[in-house]
Amino acid sequence: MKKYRGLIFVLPVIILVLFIVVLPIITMLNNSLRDVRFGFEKNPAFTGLKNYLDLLEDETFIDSIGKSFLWTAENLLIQLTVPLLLALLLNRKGRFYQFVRSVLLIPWILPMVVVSIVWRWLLEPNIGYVNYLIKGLGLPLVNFLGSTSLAFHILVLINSWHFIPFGTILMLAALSTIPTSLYDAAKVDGANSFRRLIHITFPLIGRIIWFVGLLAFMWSFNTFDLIWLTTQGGPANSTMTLPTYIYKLAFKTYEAGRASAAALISTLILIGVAVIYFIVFTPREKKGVA
Amino acid sequence: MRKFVILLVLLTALPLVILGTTTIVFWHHEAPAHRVAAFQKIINLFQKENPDIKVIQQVVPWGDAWTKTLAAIEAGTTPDFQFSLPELTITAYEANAIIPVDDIIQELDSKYQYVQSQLAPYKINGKYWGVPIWTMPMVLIYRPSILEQYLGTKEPPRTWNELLLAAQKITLLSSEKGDTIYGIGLTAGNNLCTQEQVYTIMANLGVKFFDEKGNLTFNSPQTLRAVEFYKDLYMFSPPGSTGWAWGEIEMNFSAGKIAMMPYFGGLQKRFYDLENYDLDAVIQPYPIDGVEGNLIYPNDVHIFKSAVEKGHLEAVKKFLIFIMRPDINAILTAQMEPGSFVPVTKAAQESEYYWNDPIIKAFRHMNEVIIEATNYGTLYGFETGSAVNLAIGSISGANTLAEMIQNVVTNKMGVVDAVKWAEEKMESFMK
Repeated sequence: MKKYRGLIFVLPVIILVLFIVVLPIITMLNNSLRDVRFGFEKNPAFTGLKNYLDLLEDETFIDSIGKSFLWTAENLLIQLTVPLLLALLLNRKGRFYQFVRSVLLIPWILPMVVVSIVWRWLLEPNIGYVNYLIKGLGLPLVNFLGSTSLAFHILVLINSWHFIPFGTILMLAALSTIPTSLYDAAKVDGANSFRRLIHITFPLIGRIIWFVGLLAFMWSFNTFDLIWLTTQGGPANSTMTLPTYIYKLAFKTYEAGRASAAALISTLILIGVAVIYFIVFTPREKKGVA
Repeated sequence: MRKFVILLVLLTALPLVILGTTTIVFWHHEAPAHRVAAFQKIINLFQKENPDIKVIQQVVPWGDAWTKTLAAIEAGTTPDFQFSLPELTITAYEANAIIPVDDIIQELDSKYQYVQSQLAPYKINGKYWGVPIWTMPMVLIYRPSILEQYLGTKEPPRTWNELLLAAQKITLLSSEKGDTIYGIGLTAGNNLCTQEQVYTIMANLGVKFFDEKGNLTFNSPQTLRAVEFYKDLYMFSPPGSTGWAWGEIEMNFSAGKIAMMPYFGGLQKRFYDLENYDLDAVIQPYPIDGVEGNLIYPNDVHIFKSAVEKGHLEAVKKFLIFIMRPDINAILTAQMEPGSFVPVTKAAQESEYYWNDPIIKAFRHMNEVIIEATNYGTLYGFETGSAVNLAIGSISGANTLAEMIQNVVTNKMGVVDAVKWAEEKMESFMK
């Protein structure tokens, strides 16, 4: 009995995970091999790999995979560099820096629905505040979310704006663990700011950068709410990423079978990239260094 | 002891009282508070006249309507009936979850005279599956003051040529004066609003999605011409409208940034609240060789099989007959959404209860135009007089028309290619 006590305590969580994680994945796999429209028909016809083959011939699906990677890459570029820069700037004592660190959190704590709607209105070309300022500078109005060339990158900026505070707080937490004595010793040895950054700061917060990068990747790749609430994948599919397309397939065209296949492909992509990320980018501890 | 006996008697009697009352539940998807209040008002009035029937409304936002309906059908937890749209009724019909309502239609038609075109979307395989309750016609709404300022007249355009010229003149003249006013408000967002506006233009040329046998006839010279006209007209629409839905176009129109637009008449409520009466409507302009036509969206009620199983059918029928009474129907139309929700029967359209509503009265001419438009309106996929191809649900749900327009106005595709693309998309849904 003593031997199984731990298992008994963990059992409720295992059951919960089975129901909310494993069972949906199995259902998704099953639906992806069948002709399912709404997602819960009784005895839908078995179609084998037809849904997968249809997806491979679907230009919008293939395009959406590329867009998802581009979306993730652009977001990572901003969400890894800006939080680090901000953290380095704000890693100082004083009430002013304390205040700024608090205010910085505001974008992060806003629900994404609020972020999406507010930015949609701010960027509206005719009555939005951003174009009001642009017009005041004597510049032509900008069609931010209605332009096929701009909408994608504007959404990247909004998404990053929302994530940056969280990344910054994590980086700040990591920076605070670095003993100041290391910097003092380096200064005594003649190391300038840049060399202290490269040889002390980066190595010691490497794991946090790695972790923030992993989170940013996962969250960015799966971004749905911002895109759907602003552009719905438009204009002309220019912001149609994989999660957005999966939602459209499942809940707008009622092709749950194809949507399940697409979702499974998306899952496999994420797992594959995560494995590569772990293998290639996991910080290694150097021998002889604590 | 005495108190105990009284309590015991009451507790015993309570189930008997409850057993004598039939409780019916319905879903609707009109989440705004004033619409919920309007529903409750008619429920209270009904319950006053029918104390043995209790009615409960449950709100399911439109965004959840399809998934919740299908989930309820699968789980066997459907309400007794549901307020709906043609596409949702088709979905419920395909899920084999609703009953035909020919008897109710017959009774209401004989009492109140339906505008016959409003029954078309609900006739499937020779029977009616939804009871139209109100309808939503699209007309050309406009700001008379802007027309007067830039065109020298408050008279709106009546033909496509006049519409295009007026839109062009207003946009260019206002730009010269340093104002930012656009002659026409057309959306190109990937949503239902765009679909509705596009179809209103298509209706002017009698575009038909299907023939009587349900074969796809979308890719036609009329469709190409309508899409070409939409593209030409779109040049005088605000540039940001590639991402617009209802909220943005309404806000821009109310802010005086747009002179005219094909739309529902519901903005009159906002104008009324602001004591601004600079708003009117005209039947959608059509080409000289075209027809009077516009989009019209009848909303219905369908009855689930569960109502029959629970023995609630008679109570549900009583409620539906009640809400179609002109005095009650005026609450669901004039009071709930004046100008947008319009009566579907002649009796309700002519009723003093409708026309005496303060907002309807304040915009009398506009509402006369909207009522007239119910005679010309059609809905995409139902032009032949019934639902001949049930794929229209998926075609509409996928915003196929909207995506086609987006491809055209963003120059991703030419008109011919975009219409061909839309046709192929529709064919894929038909498979």
